Amino acid sequence: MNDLCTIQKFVDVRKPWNITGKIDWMKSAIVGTVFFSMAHLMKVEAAEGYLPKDDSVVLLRLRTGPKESADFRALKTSLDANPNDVGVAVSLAKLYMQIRRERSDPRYLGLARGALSPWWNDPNPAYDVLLLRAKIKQSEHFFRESLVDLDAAIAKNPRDGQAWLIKLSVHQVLGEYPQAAASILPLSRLASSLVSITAATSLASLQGRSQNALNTLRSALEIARKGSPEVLAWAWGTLAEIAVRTGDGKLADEAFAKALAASPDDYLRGAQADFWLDQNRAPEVISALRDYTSADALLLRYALAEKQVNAPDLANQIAELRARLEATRHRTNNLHAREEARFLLSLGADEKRALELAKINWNVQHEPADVRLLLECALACKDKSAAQPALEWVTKTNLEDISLKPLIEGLKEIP
Amino acid sequence: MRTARAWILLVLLLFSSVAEAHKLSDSYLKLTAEGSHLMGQWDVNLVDLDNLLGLDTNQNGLITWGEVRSKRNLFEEYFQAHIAIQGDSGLRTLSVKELRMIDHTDGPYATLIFDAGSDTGRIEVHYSALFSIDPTHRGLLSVITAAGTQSAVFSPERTSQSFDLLNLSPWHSFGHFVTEGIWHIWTGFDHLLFLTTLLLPCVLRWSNGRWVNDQSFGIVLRRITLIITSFTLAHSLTLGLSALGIVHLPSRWVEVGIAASILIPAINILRPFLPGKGWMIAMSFGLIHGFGFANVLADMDLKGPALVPALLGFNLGVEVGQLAIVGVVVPLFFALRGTTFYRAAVLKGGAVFAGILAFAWMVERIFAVNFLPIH
Repeated sequence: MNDLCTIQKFVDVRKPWNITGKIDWMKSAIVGTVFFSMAHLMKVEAAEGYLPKDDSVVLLRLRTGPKESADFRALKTSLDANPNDVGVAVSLAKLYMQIRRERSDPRYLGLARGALSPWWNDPNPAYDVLLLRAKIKQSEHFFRESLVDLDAAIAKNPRDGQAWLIKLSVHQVLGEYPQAAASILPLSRLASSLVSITAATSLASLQGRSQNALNTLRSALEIARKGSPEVLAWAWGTLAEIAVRTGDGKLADEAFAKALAASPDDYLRGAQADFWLDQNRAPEVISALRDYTSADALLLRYALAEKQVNAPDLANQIAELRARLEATRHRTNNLHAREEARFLLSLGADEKRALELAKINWNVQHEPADVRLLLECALACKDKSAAQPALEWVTKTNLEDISLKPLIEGLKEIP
Repeated sequence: MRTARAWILLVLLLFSSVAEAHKLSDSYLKLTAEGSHLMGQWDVNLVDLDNLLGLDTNQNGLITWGEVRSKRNLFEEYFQAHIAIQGDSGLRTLSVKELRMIDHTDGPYATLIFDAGSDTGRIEVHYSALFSIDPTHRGLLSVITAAGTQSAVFSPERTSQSFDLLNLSPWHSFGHFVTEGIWHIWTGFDHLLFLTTLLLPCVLRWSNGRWVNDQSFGIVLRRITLIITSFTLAHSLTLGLSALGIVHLPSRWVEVGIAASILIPAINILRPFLPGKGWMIAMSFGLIHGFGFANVLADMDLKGPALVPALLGFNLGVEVGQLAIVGVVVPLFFALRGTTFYRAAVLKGGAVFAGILAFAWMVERIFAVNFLPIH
């Protein structure tokens, strides 16, 4: 009779609808919740958004200087008046590309493209348009289309070192080393020696001649005291990347520091962060990138560093990264494939999707980071066959990269 | 000098192709239909708006709210010129009610809140903003009705999209959610295992260290009713709280909690610590199970008026599904309760099995690994 007594404490069995005593609070709570929720729903959904307190609230800080803004306005007005003026359009497009680099904001790629829209589909436009088109397509990762324009540009004007340099770099990203190498000689005749040597050693370092490349580039940098800050930054940055791959940590640190001192940008910051992450130097990553997390690629490294040190607000960073990836979900051209794959692999707990993205990414480009990504994802999914293309690549090209050794060993152990 | 600058630009380009900070230009157009009355808002990134209208009037590199407000007329003109909604009875009048600010992942946006009037069901939305200056711009459209949300993307190649606002009352989908609820409990093996383990000893009584069979059907029935009612009340409460967004628990830990909850009735069979008080277990752990059910509704992304019928329907479905199972299982238990087979094998074996499975699920859910055929 144990449980009947229990029931009787709460329910008068002769009048079961008369629930008394302890259940009263529950009854009222339930009724209250129902009414509260109905009220909540009946309320007209207020428009989202907010009203700033007053007119002086600063909403956005533009990062162009006054001169650029003035140039920009003048050009824009001019172009609005004459949209078919090639000279004005090209100048405006170049300005957009420069602003894009300064703000790390890809919408300026779209604006540059917009300025060139009268000639975008023209198979034979003016030379300047052709070259700019190639640059824009390359930035959007439309590498093959970029090469078509580059070859047309070179055919028109074989003495423009810029075209040769972009061509070399596109072939290098695609992993087409013989075609990239074909650009070295013309480039060496048309560009400064530092530029040519940086390009050549960068290419050589990917094909098993890392130490040689390192020494050559290092000497070149010691001699080239002068050079524009941006070229120096590129050269030092390339040296840093070769040093990272060969395991010369001290040189890598020195080269990254010199590169960032010459001309800092988000690419360098990201590469330096990756190096530090591999060395378990998470605190340095966190302090270096703290103010740069508006850049998605840098927020990723920041979050990876937080994971290394078990920072308490890691969950916030992960949520933010997810939101940012979600905001670009509708884009068919995924400029973020590498970042998204790394996120899913290390922070988003979705190794399968990471591997899918790594494979898609591999179809497009073959940089050392792409090799490493595919191997890491394949290892995490214990999928040896998925790693095959990258493993064959390493053998074929003699790629020397110390970070790949543990991955290759790990994959060997999979039956 | 000019060549040097060109080289610089070039080199920077080569270097910076990977580090995209913000994103390509998007705007967000949201249309909300309540019956046939349509409200909308259009969010435009402040940088885009600046490129379109020139917001920085005092050229100091800062855009203030006052500067945005001063360009409201131009903004509205641009809006009217580039966005149109066609209904069955012609072009709808879009009347702008308010200018506000709103934040998206890539920074502050200015938003125009507008009323698109009342009409019948079908609409065609036309969008051509920003494409002339930026072909990579995309207009992200969401149309929210009682039946759910539809999305579309406007591009230079696709400048119009059609929708049926569906003058359906929200209750139309009620039946659909009842079915969802039934389905969810029938395929929710963790919920079922919890219930079954709870019900296994109901047909017996714990007395002096043994399970004895001396319960009349009436008593068993009352006991079952109390357990089911407690479970139902508890999970309905948390299902409601969670689905309405009043309480939020991370779904991963809810799933772990659900797996852990199975351990309690299992232990209660082998070493009864709450003999005859199955309803307490049902009530307390029912609260966690309710959060688990809510995850299903969360995936459907329902808002406002659509939520009430969905919630009620789903809950009703869960109860119906639950009762169906109880209706099959309990008579079976009752019929077998006298047998040693039941008291030894089914009861104890079932408890052990449930305990092991619960533990395995906990491991799976905590460490995000999969090694069982059922999850």
